[in-house]
Amino acid sequence: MCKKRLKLVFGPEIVGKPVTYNLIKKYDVIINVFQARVLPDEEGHMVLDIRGKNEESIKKSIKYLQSEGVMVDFLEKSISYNQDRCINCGACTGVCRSGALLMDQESWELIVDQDKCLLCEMCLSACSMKALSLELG
Amino acid sequence: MSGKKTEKSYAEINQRIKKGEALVLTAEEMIDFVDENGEDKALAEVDVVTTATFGAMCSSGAFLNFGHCDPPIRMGRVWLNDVMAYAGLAAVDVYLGATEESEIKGLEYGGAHVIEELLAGRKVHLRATSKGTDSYPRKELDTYITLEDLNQAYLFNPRNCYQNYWVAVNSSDKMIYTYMGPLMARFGNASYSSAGQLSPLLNDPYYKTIGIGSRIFLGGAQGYIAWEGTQHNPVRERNQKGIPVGGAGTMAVIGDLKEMSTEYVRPASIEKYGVSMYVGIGVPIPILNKEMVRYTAVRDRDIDVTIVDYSGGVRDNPTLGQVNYEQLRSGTIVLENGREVPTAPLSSYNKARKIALELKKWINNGEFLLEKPVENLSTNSQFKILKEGAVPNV
Repeated sequence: MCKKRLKLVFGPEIVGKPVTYNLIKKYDVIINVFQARVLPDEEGHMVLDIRGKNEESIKKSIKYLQSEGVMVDFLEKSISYNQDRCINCGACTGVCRSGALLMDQESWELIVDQDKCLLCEMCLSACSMKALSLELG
Repeated sequence: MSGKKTEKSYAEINQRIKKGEALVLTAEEMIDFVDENGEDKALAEVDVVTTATFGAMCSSGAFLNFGHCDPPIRMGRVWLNDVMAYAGLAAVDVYLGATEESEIKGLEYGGAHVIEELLAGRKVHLRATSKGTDSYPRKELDTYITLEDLNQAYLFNPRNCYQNYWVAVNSSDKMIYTYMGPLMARFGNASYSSAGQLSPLLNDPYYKTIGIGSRIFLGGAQGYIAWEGTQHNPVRERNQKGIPVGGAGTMAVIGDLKEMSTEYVRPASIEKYGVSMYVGIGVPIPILNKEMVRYTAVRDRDIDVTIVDYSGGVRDNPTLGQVNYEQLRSGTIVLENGREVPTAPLSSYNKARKIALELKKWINNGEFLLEKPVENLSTNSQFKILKEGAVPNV
């Protein structure tokens, strides 16, 4: 199994195409959608995990998406957490919708769960200590 | 114990501290102690309750004296790492405000960051200009200084340690950036900023023991309350427990920067707002009588706070009811309009707890004695607004 997190941007002209259907059907990949906003005549956005048998199957899938005109952004970015700068205030937790940033209700320390992060980047603006930053893969 | 005492004095408490016999509890521990043992036993046994907070306190800054160079300069304009310091004082004295922004980097770097660099022992770029006078002929200075090089360096913060504050939300349909952090559209989140049951002025709501001259923990060192804070507003509406339901009392504090630590003084860059400084303050409360037992046993659910809609950009923002700190700490509140809103604190409860424990340790070690206030903070001063357009009487 091989997994990649992708951010897809669909131009208004291809929003109507059954791209994800074809992707699953033709390339036998498992899709897990975290975030999606796809409306008629508007630019669409989607954040998803794509899982395939091997790296090759994922490569082919991405080629297919690109051939359909979808812009593919590899979310090999991650939010990096600098514990020394963090004061455990918790300001970041109020804007985090994915559950990646939570306060421990006993110790009042920040718990960071990278696996849940959807890279919305809201926490970057909520942290006044610059303890959270975007790391490019 | 026969002949129950109903009052204790500062002198008695300090005697017990010196002998190493004092019972010191943090404000959190006091809640449990009173629950388990009752108020009478708490009065008989507990000497001091330590309270603390670690939050963004914009109204902060440092007085610095650089010493004289040769030939000397009467500094007219002064910059520290490109952050302007106020030099309208004697020749080599300045006041460096925490929120002043770098003329080069903007809100990424400000007075609070310079204070952190000084605390960390790093070299800071000092530039000064002057008109030049007979006795101070020099017109320009460009050099580097460290905290150690300075004669005096002390924090003097005109308004710290707010007694309660507000809960901030945003009813508009666009995101706004405030000193309470980013507020998402349509009540997307709520932020609050008080240590609640650990917060100093919420454990002594009528300032019976906290006043001018009180010795406190400030930024990791011993400091003092110098005056009532600016915008001190003791007449704010209070709940049945006597707790103000919004920003009320404040204190001006002073302490030696050279003894402080970056652990308890931290610069902050608040997105699309500006620079601020997180300051750690701890205040010991002597358990003089039953009244102080009751005050210091205050808990989050006793502390109500008003929800304020920050979207209007006006002085008197609309309010949306009240919640208490227990609800805020649960992570979700429900507004009057039925909306469920995720909450997040801006001040660090974790750090506040550390400060309360550190102060407790100082007292237990006999390094820190309690000081009776020279004068109490006002309980009736009026809070004024700025009236514009009034014609002065000639």
